[in-house]
Amino acid sequence: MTPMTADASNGPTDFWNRYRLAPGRYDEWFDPQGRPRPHAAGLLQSFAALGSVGLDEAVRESQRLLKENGVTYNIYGDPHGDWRTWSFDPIPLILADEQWRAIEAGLVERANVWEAVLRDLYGPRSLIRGGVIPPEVVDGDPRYLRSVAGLRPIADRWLHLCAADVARRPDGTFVVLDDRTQSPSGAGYALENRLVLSRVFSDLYRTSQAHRLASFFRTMLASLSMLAPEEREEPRFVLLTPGPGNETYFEHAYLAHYLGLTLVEGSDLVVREQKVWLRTLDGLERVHVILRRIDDTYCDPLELRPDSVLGIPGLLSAIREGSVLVANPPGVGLCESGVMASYFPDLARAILGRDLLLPSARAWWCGRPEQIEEVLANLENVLIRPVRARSTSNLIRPGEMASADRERLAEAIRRTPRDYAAREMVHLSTAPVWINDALEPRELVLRAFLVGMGDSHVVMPGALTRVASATGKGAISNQEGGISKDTWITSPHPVGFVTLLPMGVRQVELRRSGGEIASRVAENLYWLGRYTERAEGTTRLMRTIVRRLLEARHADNDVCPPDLLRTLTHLTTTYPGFVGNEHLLDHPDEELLSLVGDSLRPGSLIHDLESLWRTARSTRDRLSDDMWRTINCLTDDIRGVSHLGDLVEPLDQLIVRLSALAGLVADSMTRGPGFWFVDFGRRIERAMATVNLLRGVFFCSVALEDAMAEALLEVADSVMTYRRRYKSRLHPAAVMDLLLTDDQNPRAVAYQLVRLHDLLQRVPSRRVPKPLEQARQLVMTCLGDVRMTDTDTLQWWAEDGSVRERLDAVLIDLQEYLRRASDAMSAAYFVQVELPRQLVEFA
Amino acid sequence: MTRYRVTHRTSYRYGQPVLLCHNEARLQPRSTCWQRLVDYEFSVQPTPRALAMRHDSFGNVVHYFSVEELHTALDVVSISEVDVEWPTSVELAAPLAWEEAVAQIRSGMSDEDLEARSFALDSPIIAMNAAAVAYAQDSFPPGRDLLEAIRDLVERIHRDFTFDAAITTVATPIAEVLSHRRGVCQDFAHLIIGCLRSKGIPARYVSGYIETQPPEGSERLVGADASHAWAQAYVPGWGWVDVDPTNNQMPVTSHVTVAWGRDYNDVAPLKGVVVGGGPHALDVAVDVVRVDAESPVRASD
Repeated sequence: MTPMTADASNGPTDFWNRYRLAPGRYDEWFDPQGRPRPHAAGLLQSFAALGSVGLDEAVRESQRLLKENGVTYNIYGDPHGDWRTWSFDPIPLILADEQWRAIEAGLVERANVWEAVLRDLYGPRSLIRGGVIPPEVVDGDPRYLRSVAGLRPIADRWLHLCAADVARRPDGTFVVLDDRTQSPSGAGYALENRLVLSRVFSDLYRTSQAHRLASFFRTMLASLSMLAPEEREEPRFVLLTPGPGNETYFEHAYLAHYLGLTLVEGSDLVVREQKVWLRTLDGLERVHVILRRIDDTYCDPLELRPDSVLGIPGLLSAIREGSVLVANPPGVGLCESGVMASYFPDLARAILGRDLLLPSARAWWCGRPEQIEEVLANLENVLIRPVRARSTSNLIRPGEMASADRERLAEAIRRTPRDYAAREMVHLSTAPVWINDALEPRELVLRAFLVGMGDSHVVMPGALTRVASATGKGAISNQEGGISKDTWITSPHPVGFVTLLPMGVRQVELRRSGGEIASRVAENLYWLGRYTERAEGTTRLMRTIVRRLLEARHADNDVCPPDLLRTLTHLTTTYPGFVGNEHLLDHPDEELLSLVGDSLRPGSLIHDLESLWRTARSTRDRLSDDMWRTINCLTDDIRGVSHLGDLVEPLDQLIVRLSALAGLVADSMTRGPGFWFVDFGRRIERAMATVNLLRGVFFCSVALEDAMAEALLEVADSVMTYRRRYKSRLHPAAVMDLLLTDDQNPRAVAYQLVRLHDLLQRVPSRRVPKPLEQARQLVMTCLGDVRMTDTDTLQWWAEDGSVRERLDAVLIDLQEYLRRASDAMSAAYFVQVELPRQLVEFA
Repeated sequence: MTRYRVTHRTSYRYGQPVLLCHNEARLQPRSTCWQRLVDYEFSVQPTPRALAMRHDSFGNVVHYFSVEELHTALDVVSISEVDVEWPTSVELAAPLAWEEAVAQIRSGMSDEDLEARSFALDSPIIAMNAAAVAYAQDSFPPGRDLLEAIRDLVERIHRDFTFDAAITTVATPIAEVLSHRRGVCQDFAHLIIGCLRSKGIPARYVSGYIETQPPEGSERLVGADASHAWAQAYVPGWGWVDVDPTNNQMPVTSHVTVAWGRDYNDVAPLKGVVVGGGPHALDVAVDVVRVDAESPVRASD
């Protein structure tokens, strides 16, 4: 079937002729006769005008933006693709306003029904007494939490945020496949998709009259603020994430950043006096609202899963006390249950007195004698959801099984029928996706988002459209590498402009400080500073070495002193390396390449960069988009280089990128606690590294000293300064002065000490922790030592000629003091949070 | 009617200071149709920063408390006075075949039935198990009177199993208890519950105390008692019947009921999450003594 018939007059024909409708499916853009649906006609023209070239360009551009923004989805069980860039199709899904309004009404009704179900089943249980649902079903459902029964959340509201997967049947009617209530993910991805598309197709988007998304997020914050406990002007919001290992961590960080919330992990929070507090540098700060992204049973190891380390002991008692608003409270996972799904139409009828406006896909539970036979008789046409599976998204597809496997599944179902639920397999609608230079009809599911407001819910005027990873494949899951689209609900009227700039809960009040900072975040920022500097130091030394080696090969003379290689081993602490294996000095290529690109080797450049990336990632909400973009591209050039000769350019490039990052830190980070920690990390690392370099250079044989000193100046980016001051002659004392005692050279040890001293005068907390006094003392001592040092005496050799005695003593002292200063700073701020553990009386 | 005073002391001693602990105690005896709580005192040292009382979904009293100062010792003392009067026998007006009873329960819609029905389900510690199903079988031939069948099961467990405090902790799976043929009161309670549920009879786990008599001629030792556990079976037309397989009693005679739930996990007397503390030592002392009652018991619940 061809969408555009031959008599269609203009441009779109050629382009859209290539789109073949999938038989038996509803297509969102074309009717079964191949005529464009009216609401799609305009866009159809626009995309035809773009043509293949324009779409390819859009794909490249959007992938670039997504990658730079670090939009990832964590794939479980894929060691290589730990973080996968979000796959995005630039052709949006469009829905006409009036169709969306019907969906909207249905979703609001659905959320209200669930709200009533939760309120009743965790409360008076009249639905059980009324015979709508048997008690065994509720109490036997692993998603019904007995500990939560009797709990009355703030304002009696259970669902503040929820989501539903909506699909369209071949007859054009909509149906709800699933509900997401525990940690309804996707709204952040929808927002990011919108941001990307509005950039890639800025003109198209401006004139599209698609409803904007920002108002939804404003409503979310406003509505949660209204319900926040204790009438206060500034309720403190946090977004509770399981951490960077979670599949949707990007979204948590992204939303926290966008909404202006503090991103926290369970160990950042503590319950005291039945209230929730955030551990900050200034001690405990009260938390009023928690946006929760950890599963129900992990919320509180005291009353729920005892082995949970993601949750907060005592959280349920705080919720009962009404001292914290948790969106959503634990227990709402009941709405995601396959068992409950089979009763949902009955529950809805009991509550509404009529059928749902927007029906659910048919659902069965094999624990119901009248339903198990129906499921077994129809096994290849249903999706099976194991009742006890933690994730609700991994469905079993008996239709795709070999018949022997299907028989085994049927046996398992007969053996423990209560453990299996089933859902009708809906023949999903399709929309065009631009893949490999072709338009393909791919099946899709919409994820819609709701936020509670007043006594009802509001639907986001847009959705996350997820598309099957292959044509004709019914499975749509980001775990299986699905693709997503932006979703436009097109209004017949022009829509108002709403900014997508990150918004804060506390918008009105101008603040000078960035507010509190969690201890864990401070520690990550400190390491961000250290890794950035460490990577730069290694890169510089590596570049100097590689240049010299290559030069030597051309000129056939030895201009790369072996001590330089040994210094590299010392600096990166990758022993034995060039220190322990003499033969490596003659054939250094392999070792050097390993020190650049072996990500499994601690001390290698790539290892440092990946550590940098990881620490940056877990403080994602503290970094500007530009910083994040820069960090995301750091490893691009050096990955996979296999010849020394190909290294120089990537190393140059990397130095530029790292400098850009340093520049952004210096120029764009406000001088709050965040900057303090990054800068402290950076200074301490640079001071330590420079001390190490000096030791490496001035303890080689005298014959090589000039060559070494020259290399050192290059590594420390101080060649220009040196030449200007001393012309070309190398004096050891002059080099020492420039790199050790000159407090005007930003590469010198003295300069770092001045900076550290400065930082320690302006601590990032209200109180000065004790160990910090000690750190201050240590830095003062170092600075005094360096300033008092007479560089002339530094050159002196010991009588036996083995070592420059004075210099050695100074450098060893510096090493020790710097280490202790760093330890003292850690002790002051990075309290090792002990993990809570269970204590049970074995009576 | 007997009045008991029960003192239950729990002491933790820690190797290193504890920064913070959150705890839940289920130590306060319930009032039931056979028992009335006359007086109760619950105390914790060091003084908790937060202390809150609530009822859990089974109706047990829960004391939540947190100690938020550095401490190396935690002492929880629960002192209760209860009037207890157990029925002398359990009889139904007419025999009731166990299959018939199960059918009645499954379709029962009274509030009591609705509450009881869920106790026929598996629970976290007591999962359906082939060995338990097989063991229960002998007591439930077709058509046997329900009360008779339960009594037989209680007797058999008492006869077939050896009480052995050395062998288990609370978490022993019933399959293991069945293969070793020995255990402690918690194990026998879990076992009989598993057997009853395998036939569709709702059963629940009861935590509490039992009055112990010193051996002939010796003094009663203070603190020598322990907490006890037994079970309840749901019998239509009667309600919950207390059965104690450890002591071969149905109904029970000298027991003080504290709390009930699906299994031990629901009613652990004291559980907590601590931050810090290092290794710890635990000491539990329970003392059940008769005292003179001042007033007659009134059934209440």
